[in-house]
Amino acid sequence: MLHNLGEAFSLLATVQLVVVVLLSAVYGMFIGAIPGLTATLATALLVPIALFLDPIPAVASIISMSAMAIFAGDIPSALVRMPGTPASAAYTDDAYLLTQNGQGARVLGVGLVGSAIGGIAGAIVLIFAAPALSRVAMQFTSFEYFWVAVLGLTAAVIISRGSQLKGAISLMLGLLVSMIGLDQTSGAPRFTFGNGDLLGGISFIPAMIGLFGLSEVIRNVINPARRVKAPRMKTKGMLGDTFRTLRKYWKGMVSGNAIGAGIGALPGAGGDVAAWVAYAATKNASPNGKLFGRGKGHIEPIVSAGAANNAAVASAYVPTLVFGIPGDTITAILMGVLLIQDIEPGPGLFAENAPTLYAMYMLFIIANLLMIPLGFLAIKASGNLLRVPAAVLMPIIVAFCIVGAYSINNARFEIIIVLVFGVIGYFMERHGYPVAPAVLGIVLGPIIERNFMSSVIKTNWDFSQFFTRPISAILLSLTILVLLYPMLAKLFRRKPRDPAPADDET
Amino acid sequence: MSSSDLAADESETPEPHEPTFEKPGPADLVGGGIAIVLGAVVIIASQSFPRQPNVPSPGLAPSIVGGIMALCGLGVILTWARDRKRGREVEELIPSPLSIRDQVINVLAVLAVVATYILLGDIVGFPILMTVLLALLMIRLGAKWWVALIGAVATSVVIYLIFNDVLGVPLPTGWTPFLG
Repeated sequence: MLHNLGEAFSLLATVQLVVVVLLSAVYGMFIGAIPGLTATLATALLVPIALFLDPIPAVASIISMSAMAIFAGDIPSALVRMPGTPASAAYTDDAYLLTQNGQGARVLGVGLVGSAIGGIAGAIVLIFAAPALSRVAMQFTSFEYFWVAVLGLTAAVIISRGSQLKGAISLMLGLLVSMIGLDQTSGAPRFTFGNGDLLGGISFIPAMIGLFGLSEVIRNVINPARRVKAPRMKTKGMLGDTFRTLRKYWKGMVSGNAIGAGIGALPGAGGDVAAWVAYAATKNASPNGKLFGRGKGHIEPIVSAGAANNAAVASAYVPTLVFGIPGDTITAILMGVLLIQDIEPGPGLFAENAPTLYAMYMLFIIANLLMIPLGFLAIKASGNLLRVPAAVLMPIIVAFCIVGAYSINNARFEIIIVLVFGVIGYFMERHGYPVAPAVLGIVLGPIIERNFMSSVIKTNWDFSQFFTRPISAILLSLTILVLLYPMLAKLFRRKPRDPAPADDET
Repeated sequence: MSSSDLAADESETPEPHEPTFEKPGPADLVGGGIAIVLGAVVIIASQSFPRQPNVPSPGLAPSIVGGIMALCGLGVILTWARDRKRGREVEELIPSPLSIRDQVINVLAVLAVVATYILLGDIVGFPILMTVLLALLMIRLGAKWWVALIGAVATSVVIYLIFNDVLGVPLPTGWTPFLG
């Protein structure tokens, strides 16, 4: 293991990597801090650039950027009550109310250090859980991989907010898009309409840039976020205050980390879900629970939920690297990038590519440690970050969408894809069809179909193997459980007080 | 029980948003219908893919996916029909401060920028075209003309440096070949 560590270190100790990590962190800070721009948008725009880098720096840029963006989303939450990213939404009210009472620096300091600790906790989970799970994954054949992918996608659809039916439609759409082009099993052209460009299929990158990037711009120009003045913050004594607070609420810190790491590792559930669950758990467990979210706000949920969302971002890499099932949207995009770089997630990664893995583990820890000084700088500068006018920012994003798409193949076709999917993505979100499952479908579609086809070919249409193999059966049962989860949840959620019927006694 | 106790009781579980129940508009009917039609079209189209011996039809997976999509579309329509009777909880959306006309023009402007670049990018070249398009879009979205000018030029320069010089992506030079 020491040998691997050493190799990993040499992979990391390059100037290029340090520059990449720093720049990505700054980039993540900007995007996270501006309300209306999500970490997914940031990832979408970063990918075309990351493709030009070697695998390690590419992964490093995404890890560094996302860790920073998830924290930076706390800044506008606290200052102007608008979460910079959905992951900060759970505790926006508390953060804002506390800031109004002059506690802004404390809020953000706690959020920052809490996030860093959360990220490192998630990384530790990753370091220990991943190799253990990969030993299980070694027994996987195409049947098991098929079911894991189905399980992951089902979980992603069920967990996504809003109508699950619409989430499923979105997923199916993504799967269909992935089937455009040459069939990998038989070589037959599908849905190409004789178009030479379509023969190569629709790459997930321009589709993702359109779905996450351009559609976001369209949404923003229709309903621009109001420019608000941000209050100045007193940052003297912030450090000491922060550590005192963290020590006081260490239980919330621990539970937040645990919840975040646990939920992040579930396919499809990301930082925002983890933050909400941690918030609710802390509120229930704390004697101060009633004070959360109103009046002057309370710092306790910020400690746990702030840690939870960063822990989730890190532990989302567990299913991604071990099984090739993305833990959240950011890792879905990362997986797509890895696949393009010919790094196939799965047991092979652990067996053959150990130095790469160790490098990734170290990257997590480095990125989260780096977040602390950068984050403090961001907090000090926060007033200015929010002043960028949308009228200037939106066109800049459009420019990056165009050029990013073009840079994939030096062709106009990819820009056309961005345009088309931008419009599709806007209409989808507007009518309640979440866009994330579609991206998951585009990324995972080929993997699912390939495993399905090879399973069928291997056993010559003997479908029973899909159900009788022990691990497959377990995965199948889990999938059914997840599918039924909404119905089961309704059954078990009895209201504590049934509303009194009208004809009750007075 | 004094009234102040009652007040304290009520503040225990406040409802931050009273859910409003509304009859849903036709959007879901249309959406579900599109899903059904799309699913059906995919299934039909998948039957005619060229087959190879000893290998499952390339139409198998698309048909399954199309089938699921159509079923879900049906589900959306059924849910919509049910909600027409009993109302559906509606999320309060913050209304846009812009007039409908402004909204539409803004969207068209954004799409026009992308479309124009697709069509004219190779001819006019990135440096000039992107700068002009960005400046126009910024002005349309409300920036002052000199802010737009600086922003557009700065953005084009930065993008050119990053993509063309650092990453080696050959951005078209068009009318400005001396920049290549």
